Amino acid sequence: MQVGNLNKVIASSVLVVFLAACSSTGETTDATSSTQAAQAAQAAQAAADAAALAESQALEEAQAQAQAEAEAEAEAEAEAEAQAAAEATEQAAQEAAQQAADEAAAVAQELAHQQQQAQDAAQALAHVIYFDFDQSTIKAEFRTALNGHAAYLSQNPSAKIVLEGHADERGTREYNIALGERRGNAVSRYLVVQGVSVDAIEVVSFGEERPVNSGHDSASWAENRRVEIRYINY
Amino acid sequence: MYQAVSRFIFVPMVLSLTLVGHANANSAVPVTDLDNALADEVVAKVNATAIVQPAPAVHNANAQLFDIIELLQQELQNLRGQVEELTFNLKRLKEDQKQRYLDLDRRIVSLTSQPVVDPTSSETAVIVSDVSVNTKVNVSTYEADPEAEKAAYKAAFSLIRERQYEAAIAALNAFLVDYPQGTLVGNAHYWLGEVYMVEGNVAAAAAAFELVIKDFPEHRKVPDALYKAGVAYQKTGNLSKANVLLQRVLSHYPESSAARLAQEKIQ
Amino acid sequence: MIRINQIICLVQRALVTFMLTALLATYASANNLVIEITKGVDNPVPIAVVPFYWSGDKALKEDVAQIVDADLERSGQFKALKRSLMLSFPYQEADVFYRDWHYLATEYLVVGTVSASENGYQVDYQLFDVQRKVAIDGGRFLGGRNDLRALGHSVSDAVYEALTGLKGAFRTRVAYVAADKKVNPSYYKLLVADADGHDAKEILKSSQPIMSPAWSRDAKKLAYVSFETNRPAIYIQDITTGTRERIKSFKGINGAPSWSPDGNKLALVLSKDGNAEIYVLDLKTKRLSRVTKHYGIDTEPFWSVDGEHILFTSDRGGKPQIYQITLDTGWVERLTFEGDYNARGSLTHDGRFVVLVSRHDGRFHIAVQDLQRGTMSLLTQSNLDESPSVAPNGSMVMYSTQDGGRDILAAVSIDGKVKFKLPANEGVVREPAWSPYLN
Repeated sequence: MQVGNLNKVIASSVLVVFLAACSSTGETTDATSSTQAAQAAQAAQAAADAAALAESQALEEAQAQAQAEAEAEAEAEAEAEAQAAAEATEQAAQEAAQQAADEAAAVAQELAHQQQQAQDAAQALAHVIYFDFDQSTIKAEFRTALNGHAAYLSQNPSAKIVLEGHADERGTREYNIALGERRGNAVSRYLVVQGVSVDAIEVVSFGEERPVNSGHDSASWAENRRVEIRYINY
Repeated sequence: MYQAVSRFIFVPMVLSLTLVGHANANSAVPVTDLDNALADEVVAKVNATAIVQPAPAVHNANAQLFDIIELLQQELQNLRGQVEELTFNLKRLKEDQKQRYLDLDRRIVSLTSQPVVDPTSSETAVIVSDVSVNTKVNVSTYEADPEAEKAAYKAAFSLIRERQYEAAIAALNAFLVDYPQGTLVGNAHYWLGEVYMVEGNVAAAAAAFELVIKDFPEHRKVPDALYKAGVAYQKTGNLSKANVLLQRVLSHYPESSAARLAQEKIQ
Repeated sequence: MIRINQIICLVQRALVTFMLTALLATYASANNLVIEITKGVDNPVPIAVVPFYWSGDKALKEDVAQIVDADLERSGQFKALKRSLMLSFPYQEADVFYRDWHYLATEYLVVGTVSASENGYQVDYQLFDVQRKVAIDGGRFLGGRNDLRALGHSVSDAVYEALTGLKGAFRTRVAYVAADKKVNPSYYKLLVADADGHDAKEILKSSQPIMSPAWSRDAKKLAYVSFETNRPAIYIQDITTGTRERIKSFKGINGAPSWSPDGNKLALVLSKDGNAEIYVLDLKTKRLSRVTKHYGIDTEPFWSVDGEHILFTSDRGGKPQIYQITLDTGWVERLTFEGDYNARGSLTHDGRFVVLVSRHDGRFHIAVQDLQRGTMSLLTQSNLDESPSVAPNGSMVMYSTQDGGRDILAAVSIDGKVKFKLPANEGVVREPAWSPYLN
């Protein structure tokens, strides 16, 4: 609202200066035409009276001419001044606009930068949550990372994630599909509780079908019992 | 351009809100700097865009509720599991109790109907499973007709060969009742174990084999009984007990054929 | 006469040996499952399967007697006599000298002939009791040009039934999943092979996981789960025509298909209502009805033979256990109580045993629960044993296990006495599904 005002102020001031310049030029033109008419009348009268008045006529003529010249000069001067003034005003307005644009761009950049930072921060967060055997409880150590994701997601409604649930190779395959999903759901619920829209999250379980570590020992199994947070859209 | 300028003008506001957000976050939860920065920004932007969102304190409370519900669910599941198991055990105990009563009843009836003669065998009712019968020595002290005993045993054994396992179990049990001090009691227990094993009643099989081991320590079937009991325990998943039994075959009867089999079973 | 006969026999023997070597060479390269018997019963019945007589000029592609021989040995209940020890190669009753076979300590004898028929082959066989010196069974099977192996399995089934009283399950198939992540591009395949591992045929190949193959009761279709769209979906594929249909998918899990006995319904697992629950899909009306309702995991449905119950795995009691639901009443009963992890139950055809995966001392074994006695016994001692599937006659259970760090298929008899392995020569194989009887 205030911005609009400022713009109007700038615009109207430019208009005022321009109009002022135009009106001053017009007045000068009118004065010139009236003087010439007077001269013509005087000349006709003088021809009828006497030639003796020729001197005074010439003088008058010279005076009138001088006056006209002076007036024309003044007119030109005024015109130049007006133009200069107009130009100055315009330049000022342009500069103001430019500055405004620059600063706006800076803000936009700043915001974009902040957005990028937020995205970077979200990217920097842990994207894999690990679980215990046959468990889907989110351990305390992963909660800060999840809070970060939750913050980013609730702030960026266009952002979308897929939670990929996985299990280790022990136990049966279909049960592990369900277990992977239970883990994905646990993470999903946690995020929703933190204010993330349900529509921003999809859970897919791969059970034990896509291990990150194909080993058959407890260290490999621990790596495979996980939920991976994948951003489809930041 | 319009938009850009509008943002420009809001910069100070955002900054001030950021500070407020910071204060909020600090007072609500002690978290790390990284998260603080992010949380601040969110609070600020959320406020700026005027979307109604719960404050961090609410989030925290929600998270706690979430935890509580999860815990309750788990607790409930575990309790359900325990109830299921207790119910099952109770049901099984009742059945066992009934079975035991019937068994006892049958033994008493058969004892009272048997013409008891010799004072030396008056203790029979108590001794059945207590006396270590050395089959060869005890033959002479035994009252019942050894021929009849042999015949009864053979009849039961032939049922096993004919794969009539249910009938064999009944016959062997009857044999044990009829000839509690017979020379073939050890063998009968052993074969009862074998038949139970075939029938998949692993627990009963293990018990029968153990009876042979305990009550007939000198019996020639002991190495086999040890091995079979070991196998039975392996099947029930009691691997430690199974190993103890199998090791005993190896240490006590290294020359027996059971020892070779036991060696294969020990992993 | 005898002499001439023996000479003929010798020639036959040489021919057979030659054929056999040639055959072995082709098997090794053409098929990816190789049988390896690891454990048999203590006293297998000695039997002799004499090379079948073939009157044609060109050698047959398959050695029918060898197929019968291998089938019977694989059951663990028989010990086949080596051909090199046979004194004669009779193919009809008149040429059988019981004395010889008795001398070789053989209890039973199988002889037969293969002859060309209009569209393929005809196989005639006879089974003799050596001790009693009588023929106890015999018969004829007809098949197409590519059915020699199937004809051999039919003879095995007949002999097995005549001697054990139990219908043979040699002429059946097994579907399984093969995967290789070490090759580029890595792949998942759904294959169908004969129950002896021969003639593996590819049903589906994908870069994404394939899971849970399940046979329709007529053995003509397979239901399975494929992640080919990056999301799980259930497909039903006709294995002869290859045409397939994708069942309507829902958000979340679409898995664990199991056919109803009448083949009109499919039990499956969906998580569209929040978590893994069991549903029944009527394949004709496409009507979907929900069977279980619990916030715990309910999965791995298996239909009872009478179609009235569904067995399933649930962790509603804190740990996965096998439950049974009665479809009419919704009554749920827990079936397993031993061990802290019992899953993927399937019933034997007589409904008496549940074959399942059970954890004991932290190791996963195949176990069998006797529903009559309520007792459980372990069938395997190896670790990470999975996906048990029972043969249609209930005699054997095929499962997947680890061998040298690889997934392989193996089988064990329902009494745990007989075991054999079917290692693959490429990648890993898993999730065997034993087909019903083929008609």
